[in-house]
Amino acid sequence: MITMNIINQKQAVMIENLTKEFDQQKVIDRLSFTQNQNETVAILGKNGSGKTTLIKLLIGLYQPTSGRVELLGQDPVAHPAVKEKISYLSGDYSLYPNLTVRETIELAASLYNTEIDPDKAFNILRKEDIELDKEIKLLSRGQLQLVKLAAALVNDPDLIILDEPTSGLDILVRQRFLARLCWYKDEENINLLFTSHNFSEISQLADRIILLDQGKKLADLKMEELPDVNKEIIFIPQKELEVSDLGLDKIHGINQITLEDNKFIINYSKDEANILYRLSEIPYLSLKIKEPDLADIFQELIEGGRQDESE
Amino acid sequence: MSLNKYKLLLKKEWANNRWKVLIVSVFLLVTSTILVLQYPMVQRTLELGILDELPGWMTGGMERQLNFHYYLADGWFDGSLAQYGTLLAVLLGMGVIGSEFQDGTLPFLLARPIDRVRLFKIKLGFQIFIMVLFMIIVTAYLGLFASFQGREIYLFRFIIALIPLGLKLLVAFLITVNLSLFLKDQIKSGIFSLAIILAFWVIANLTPLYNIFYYYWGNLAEYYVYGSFPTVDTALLIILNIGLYGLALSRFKKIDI
Repeated sequence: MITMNIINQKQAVMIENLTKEFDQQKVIDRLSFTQNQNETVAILGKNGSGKTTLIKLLIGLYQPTSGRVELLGQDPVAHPAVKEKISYLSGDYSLYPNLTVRETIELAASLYNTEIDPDKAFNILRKEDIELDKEIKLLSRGQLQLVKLAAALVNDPDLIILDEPTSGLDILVRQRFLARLCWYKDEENINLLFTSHNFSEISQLADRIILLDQGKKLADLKMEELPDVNKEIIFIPQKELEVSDLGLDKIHGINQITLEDNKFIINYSKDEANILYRLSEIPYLSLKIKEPDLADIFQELIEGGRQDESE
Repeated sequence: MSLNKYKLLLKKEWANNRWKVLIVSVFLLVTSTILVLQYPMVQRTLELGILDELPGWMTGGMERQLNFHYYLADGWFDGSLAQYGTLLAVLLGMGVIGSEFQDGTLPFLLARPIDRVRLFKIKLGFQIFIMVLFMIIVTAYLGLFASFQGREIYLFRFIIALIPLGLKLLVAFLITVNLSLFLKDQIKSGIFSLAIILAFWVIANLTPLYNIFYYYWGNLAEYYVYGSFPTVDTALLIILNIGLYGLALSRFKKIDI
C-alpha cells in the first residue's frame, strides 16, 4: 500500500481506459496516459477532438461512462479533498459580472475547506494593475483571464488544468498571459495540463504533447521529438522603419526578415516571446502571427506517432 | 455549515434575484393596500342585491365575501399572494441553476472542492429563505394595514395559513428547478413551468381536486374563517415537495456541466 502511494505521488495525472459517451456516441474512447510530476503536458487536437470533454472529466464536471481518473494520486470523485490542491482555468467559463474582482477572489477562496488567504491572489492582480474594487463586467477579456489565473492560484495548487486558456485573446495579451503562467509554473513548481489548438502556445509551455483525435490518443511525444516548425509574424509599424530599427538582431530564433512597403515578415522557429516583446515596444498599425497549418503538423505528428507504435 | 464562510455566495445569489423580489413585492404591497381599501365598495355592491339578478353559476359563493375575514383571506391567500407568489417562485426557480447554466458560471464553483450536494442545498436554501421572508413581509404589511383601518385580524390563523401556501409555492419553485436541470436554460424552464401551472389551472375548472394551485386544494379562506386546517392537503404537499426536491438533487449530483 505504501509503495503504491509513492508510485502514485509521482504522477500528477493518471487516466486509465477513460471513456465518455453522449447519446451512445464515444467522445472519449478508452484513453489512457499518465503525467509525471514537474511535467507540463499539452493536449493538442482539432475542434471536436474531445479536448474539452477530457478536461471536464478530469475536473469532475462530467461523469465518465467508464474508466479511471487519478489526480495527484487520488480519485477526485471518491476523494474530493484532493481538489484542494488542484485548479482549473478555462477560456470558456464565465465569472459573476456583478461581483468585484476582490469578491471574486474571496468567493473562490471560500469554496475550499482549508483556510485560504486571498492576499497572494490580490498581489498578483495588483502587479497587473487590475483594480480590486472594479466589477467583473467592466474588465477586458485579457484582464478577465488574469483574474481567472489569480483565482486559480489562490489555493497554492500543485496541478492546474487549463482548457484553451488563451482563446479569444489578442496576440500581445496572450503572450503576456503565457509569460505570467510560465513564471508561476516555474516559481511555484506547478504541474500544468492544458489543451490547445494553438501551436505557438504549446511550443512555449509544454514538455510533452498528447495528440487527440476523435477521443483517441494518436500520439504521445516529447517536445524534442517535434518537427521544426517555421512561423511568420507580419508586422506593420506606424512609421517607416528599416530592419535594423526593429532591434531583433540579437534574437537567435529568427531565420529571415523581409520588408515590403513598410510591412515586415519575420520568419522564425523559436524565441517567439522575445520577438513579440521587442515588437510590442514599437508603435504599430498591425501585428499578426501566421500560425503553421495545424493539419500539416498533425499529419507529421500522427505519422511519427504511428511509427512509434509500430516500433 | 458556516453561513459566514459562504456569505459571498449568498451575496451573489441575492444580487441575481433582488430585482425579481423587489418588483413582485411592490406589486403585492399595492395589491394588498387596494384589497383592504376597496372592501367597503365590495360590501355596498353585494348589499345592493346585484347577486340576486345574476345566474347562480356566475355568483357561486360570492355572498361569503360580505364577511370581511372571508373576503380578505380569499383575496390574499387564495388570490393575490398565491398568484404573484407563484410568479416569484418560478422566477427564483429559474435562477437557482438555470441562470448559472446559461451564464456558464457553474464551473467556477464546481471545479473547487465544494461538494455538489452542499452547493445545491446552500443555493436552494437561500432562495427558499428569500421566498419565506417575502411572504412574511408582505402578509405582515397586509395585517398591519388592515388593523390600522380598524379591521380585526385572526393573527394566529393569518400566520399559520402561510404554511400550506408556502408549500404550494415551493411546488412551483421545485418544478422550475427540475425543468432547469433538464433544459439547462432559465428562460425555457420558466416558460414551461408557467405553462404547466396554467394548464393545471385551466383543467381545474373541470377537476379542481387535481390542482394544487387551485383554492379547493387546501382552501385557506375556509381555514382562516372557520379554523379547519387542511391537514391532509398539507401532508400531501410536503410529500410532493420532498419528491420534487429528491428528483432535483439526484439530477444535479449526476449532471454533466
